[in-house]
Amino acid sequence: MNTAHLTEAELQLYADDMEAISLNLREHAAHCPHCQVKLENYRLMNSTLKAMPTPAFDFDLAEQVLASIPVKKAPVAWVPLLAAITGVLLVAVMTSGYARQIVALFSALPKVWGYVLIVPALVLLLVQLIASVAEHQRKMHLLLSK
Amino acid sequence: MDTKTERQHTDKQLVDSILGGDLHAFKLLISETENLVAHLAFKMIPVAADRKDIAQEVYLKVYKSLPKFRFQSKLSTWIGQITYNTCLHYLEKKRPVLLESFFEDTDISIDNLANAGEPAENETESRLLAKELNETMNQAVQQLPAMQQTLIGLYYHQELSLSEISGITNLSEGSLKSHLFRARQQLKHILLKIQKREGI
Repeated sequence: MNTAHLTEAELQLYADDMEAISLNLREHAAHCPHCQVKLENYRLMNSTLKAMPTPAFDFDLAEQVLASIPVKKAPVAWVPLLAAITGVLLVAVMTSGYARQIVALFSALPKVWGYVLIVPALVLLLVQLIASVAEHQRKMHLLLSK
Repeated sequence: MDTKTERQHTDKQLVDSILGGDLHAFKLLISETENLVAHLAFKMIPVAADRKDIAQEVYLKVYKSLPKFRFQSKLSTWIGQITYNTCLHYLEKKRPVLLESFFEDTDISIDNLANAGEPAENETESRLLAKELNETMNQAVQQLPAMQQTLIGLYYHQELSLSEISGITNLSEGSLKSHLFRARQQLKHILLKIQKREGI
């Protein structure tokens, strides 16, 4: 068995990790009262350090940080916007150029065709309205739950 | 899946969510790393009023730099590194004297410290008493240089490995071991001194 006492560095290593020093030194520590006292002191110190209360902020950091993050503007969707403008322009040109023909076309149609065109359009409008309200409610719920 | 891969996977999910605009994910990241940021801010910044600004600045930097994070370390280590550098920058800009004192170390050389712990002839080291230790430990830690207090906290409170602390502070593992050795030596001496003085 090693008769020399463990150095402070060896004692610290051993107190931190049971496998950190050689078997020879561990055997010495197991039988030497002098080294055991020192080792116990380091172990006690380590466990006390671990148990010490950690500092903490006395305000809601996440809340403060999130409030100072600049809100990103939604990127402009140029392709759908251009498509919509083109569509509106085309319809405007067509209605101004062929207004009489269109009126004549619809007035010549039997009454039932009027319902065939108007009812689905109204149903579509209603469905879209319900979907918009549902989406609005979902977003409001999300916003209020934050 | 090993722990490292699993952790990177989780970090990646969190980063992806934040980059996708999910502020709840960012809130989660703050709550998971707030302890580490608080520890560094409390140990490095002596002016309590400035810690709030520092902590906010850290997370704004994190938010802005997140697209550049390459997952070469744990996300928390990266945030710790940003905090450490922000604190150093603050000390450098606003309080150069404090920066100097942060890096100030004891005059006792490591060899002297190693010998200081050895018992003199006919003298044995007294046993530290657990009963009173909790109360005196805080007092003893306060007497350590700021750098050692920071490292002791990262190692024991935050339970970070030497390589993680090295990633945060940019100090080599050898240097960290040396700092920790000095800190523990000094702590032991301070504690024994306090107990002796107070006749515990």
